[in-house]
Amino acid sequence: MTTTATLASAATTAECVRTIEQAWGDPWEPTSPLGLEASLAADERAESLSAGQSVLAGLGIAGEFVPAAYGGRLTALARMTQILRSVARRDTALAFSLASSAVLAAGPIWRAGSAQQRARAADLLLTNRILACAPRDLLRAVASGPTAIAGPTGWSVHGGQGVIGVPAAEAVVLLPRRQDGTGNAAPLMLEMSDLLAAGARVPEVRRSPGLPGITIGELTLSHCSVDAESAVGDTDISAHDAARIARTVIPSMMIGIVDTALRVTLRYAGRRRLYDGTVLSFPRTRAILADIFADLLICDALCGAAVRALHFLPDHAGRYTAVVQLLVAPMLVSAMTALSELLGASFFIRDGEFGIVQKLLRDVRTIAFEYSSSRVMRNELRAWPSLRATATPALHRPSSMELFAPDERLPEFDFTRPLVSTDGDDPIIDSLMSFPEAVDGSDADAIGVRELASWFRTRAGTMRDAAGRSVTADAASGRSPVLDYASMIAAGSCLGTWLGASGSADFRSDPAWIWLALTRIAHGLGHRRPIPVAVRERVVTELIARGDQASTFDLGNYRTTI
Amino acid sequence: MTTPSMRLFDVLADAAEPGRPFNPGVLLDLDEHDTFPADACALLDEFGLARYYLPRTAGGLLDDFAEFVRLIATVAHHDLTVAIAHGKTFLGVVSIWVAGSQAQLRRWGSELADGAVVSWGLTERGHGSDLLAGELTATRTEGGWRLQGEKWAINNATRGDALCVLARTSDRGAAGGFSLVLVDKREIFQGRYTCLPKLRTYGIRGADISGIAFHGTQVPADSLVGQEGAGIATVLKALQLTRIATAGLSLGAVQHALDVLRSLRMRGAFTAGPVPVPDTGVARLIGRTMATANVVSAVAAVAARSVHTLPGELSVISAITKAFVPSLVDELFLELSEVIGDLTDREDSLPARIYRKLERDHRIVGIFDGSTTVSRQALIAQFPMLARFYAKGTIDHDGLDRAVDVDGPLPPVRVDRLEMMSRTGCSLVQSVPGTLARIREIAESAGWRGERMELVERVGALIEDVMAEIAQYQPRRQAPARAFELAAAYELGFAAAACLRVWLASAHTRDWTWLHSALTLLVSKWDGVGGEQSVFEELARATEQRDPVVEVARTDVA
Repeated sequence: MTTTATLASAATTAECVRTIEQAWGDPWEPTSPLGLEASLAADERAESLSAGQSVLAGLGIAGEFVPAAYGGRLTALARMTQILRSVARRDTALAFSLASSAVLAAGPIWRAGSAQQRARAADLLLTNRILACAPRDLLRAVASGPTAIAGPTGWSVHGGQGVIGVPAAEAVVLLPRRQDGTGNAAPLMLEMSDLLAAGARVPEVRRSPGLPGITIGELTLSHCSVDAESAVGDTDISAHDAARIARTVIPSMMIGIVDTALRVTLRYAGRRRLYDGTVLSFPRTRAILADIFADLLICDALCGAAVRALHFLPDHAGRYTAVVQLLVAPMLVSAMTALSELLGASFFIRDGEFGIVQKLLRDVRTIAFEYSSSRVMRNELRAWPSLRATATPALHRPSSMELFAPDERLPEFDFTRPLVSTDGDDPIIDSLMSFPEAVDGSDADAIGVRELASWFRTRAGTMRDAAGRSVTADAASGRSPVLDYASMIAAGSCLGTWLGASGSADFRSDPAWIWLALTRIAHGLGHRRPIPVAVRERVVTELIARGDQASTFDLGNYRTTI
Repeated sequence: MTTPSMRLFDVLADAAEPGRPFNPGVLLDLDEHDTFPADACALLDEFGLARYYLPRTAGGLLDDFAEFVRLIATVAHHDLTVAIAHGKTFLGVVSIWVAGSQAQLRRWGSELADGAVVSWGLTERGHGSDLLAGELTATRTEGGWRLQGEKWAINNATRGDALCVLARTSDRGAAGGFSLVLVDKREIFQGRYTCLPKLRTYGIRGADISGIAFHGTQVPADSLVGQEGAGIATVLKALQLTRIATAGLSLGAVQHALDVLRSLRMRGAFTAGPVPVPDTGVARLIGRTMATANVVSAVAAVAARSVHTLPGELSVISAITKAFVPSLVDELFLELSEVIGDLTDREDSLPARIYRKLERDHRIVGIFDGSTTVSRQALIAQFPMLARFYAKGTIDHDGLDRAVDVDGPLPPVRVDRLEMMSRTGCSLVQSVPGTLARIREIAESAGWRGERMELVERVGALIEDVMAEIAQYQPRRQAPARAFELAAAYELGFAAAACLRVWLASAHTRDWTWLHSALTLLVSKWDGVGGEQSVFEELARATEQRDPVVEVARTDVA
């Protein structure tokens, strides 16, 4: 590996991760302009980590975000997601800026933009210029800012909105409201120069309090006239479908933030001596770390299945990406909270080698709670047929195992394909119905995993039987059918990932993680089954080994150094 | 009758006006610049708050620990940084209360009345909660003691006039090797100590969390607080009082959160946005916040009154309070964050800023003064004793009855009755079988519907299960993870028992919605399932009409 490697020459996801990590260098080096302490210091100064920006530009990261058809290298969402996750391991604000521009702003354009709009978006991204947007609106696909009124030659846009990257941006993608207040108009792609010429102002530029590395300009439009060609498609479908992609890509990216927090905490626990041992020697610490590691693997399995569904089963993908947004973001907040509790007083201090964790907690909370919305996801999921109508379980289709295979071998993603269906069929739930039989063996591991797999199958069956009933009646009992469903999808994704890896030497195929993962998901549904201490111990042993080898804490288990 | 906390409530309401020290905008600006809220603390000095940090025997005004907790809550309701910065003086002098001489009590009683700031130096860099690893030494000299070493991450170490320091006074490694030394910084020649830089913190950003290094600093012979070698014992007893007092911080924080929710509702924020929250959702959220406040109130009141009536059981009660209360409130905040974060149209709007600060500040409560983990370890260490007394059904009836009768009179605090480890277990939890029997009688004579008694019996069954497992627990050098879960479950049992007994003792009201919502909340923590949510809506509606002043100023439990 040479220092001049770029992402263009990285053939596999593993190489992408390694290329990025090596370009950034040692995260622990306190004097490095790219280390964790530098990222923290930039955040404290409310600046973006400019050294990181240059490194990423030098790696040619822009090409990873532009579909191959428009001059970039983007064919597989899984690869793009891993790249964003790698950036998130080092600096949240940079990763979120990239995602905001490349996924949220550009998404509707790849989906429904004109040839000209696509060429313009590709050009901006490939030359590291800013395509801005208001990420909350685009991630929710719910307009909250300016109103667009159709006129004889175009649109009149009126209102204000905080937009990330303004005023430095060259162009912005807005999701305006319809004049009659009935929801979203079609997204608009607007040139900043045109907007300013039409009287737009940016009276205030501020730092996001939740992500100070990000600049937000208060874009104020006063009946600005814009061309009819600014509209991205005729309706807001492009915004909805782009949001469906982003709802998996962004939480999946966030796994990188927690990866780093876990790495820092592991380092703390291994070094900190209390009473008569290291914090890492306490059984309680080991159990918490094992649980957090299992949670990251659950999140990654779920994100992985959703990303692959976008490629293989786009008709079904929308509900899975909503599940990702609903479950993964809060799970990551919980994981961060548990890590912060392990660090105790060291968590509370904003300086030094552990000072980054409090920032990472804030970062995760900001993205999970302030940019996304669990309410939108709940509404979206309630509308899906599998939660409304009684669907007969289809026979297990072998093709759905493709949802759980490792990241390579994905067909090229088609951005123009719609992601909605009215089909009540649900491939992951179908798989879940057949999984207990697929768990071979008679040892304690197999029995433990099979028992949980059966429990989930029974629960999924009950859920299907109840799917015809009123959702609100269930909600009154405190049992949320939406959460129930989401947990089934998580369990199905984990089991699928584990079964799909069977026979390999990879940790993915180890029964310890799946046993713990299923125990954790069942626990969240009120089913509290004890798990042998030794199983958690196997999971934490793997975690510690990965920490020592500087490998990632996700399913990919990527080595970050040679 | 106007209580001190009611008076303070009025004073702070005035001081929250624009431009005044407790104005939310003023306090937020200070926080965002890591700046100490000096004017707010000065205002509390003017009120004479510190006089409630020592008992009347020392010339102070503290004669009701529950009222003291309410005072802390009243300040915390406005701002946790201020409550923690000012309240630190209580921690500074509590060792004098527990073990000091009459002369020390008289002197510091009068110093507090004059506004002295006293700090408590326990922790050191790299040792955290492991007090026995402390390296700062106090060596006997002809004229007194010579201090060498540093204390780190100490609240008010720099701003304080004095600090009570835990120092190693002999080479014996165990607890007997430590003593408490009261260092009056004003009497030390400048240069014999150095204040360490203020730490930048996640929350309570304005607080003076710093440290102090002594360079052979000479202090007089009468600086020792308590006997030589008794430092650890004094600290452990003093922590029994401070850990209960911290419940006031959490109580104030929940009340603050309730204000934020109500103000958001009044502004129409729940319905104005593009993704409105339905009315029932808002009512549930407010109801769950209220139920949390009620549970915290009940636990805080019973724990604080136990300082007077069950001093020998505080090793258990204080550990439970310190672990349970902040955790419950942190969990609530996580729940609220999901909704509030998603509401505010601009992330720098006032309610968003207030809420973000509140949530961040409160995280310190579960960390300092014995973290949740440390408190649970203390509880786990007492498991065998708790199991034994539960099996025996040992109850200090007189002490317990007075602890749960939240409006009844209290005897003076007897710090000489504090015990390192309880000799009677925990009367409150041990009384649960009897409590259930009494409620069954009430249910029968009042003709309760089935669900009511079902809920109460469910609580009883959960406590039985926990006690059965605790009885099997084998103590070991490093507690297994399961023991921590059992400790958390025991805490829930304690909280449920507190709610049941407070409800029973408030014979004239016995508001079922109050009890129903509190128990529903607690049971959901036990079994992980939400339970019937409509009770929270009911609670929100039932309390909407109440006078908010009374609600906030008192630990209004019934």
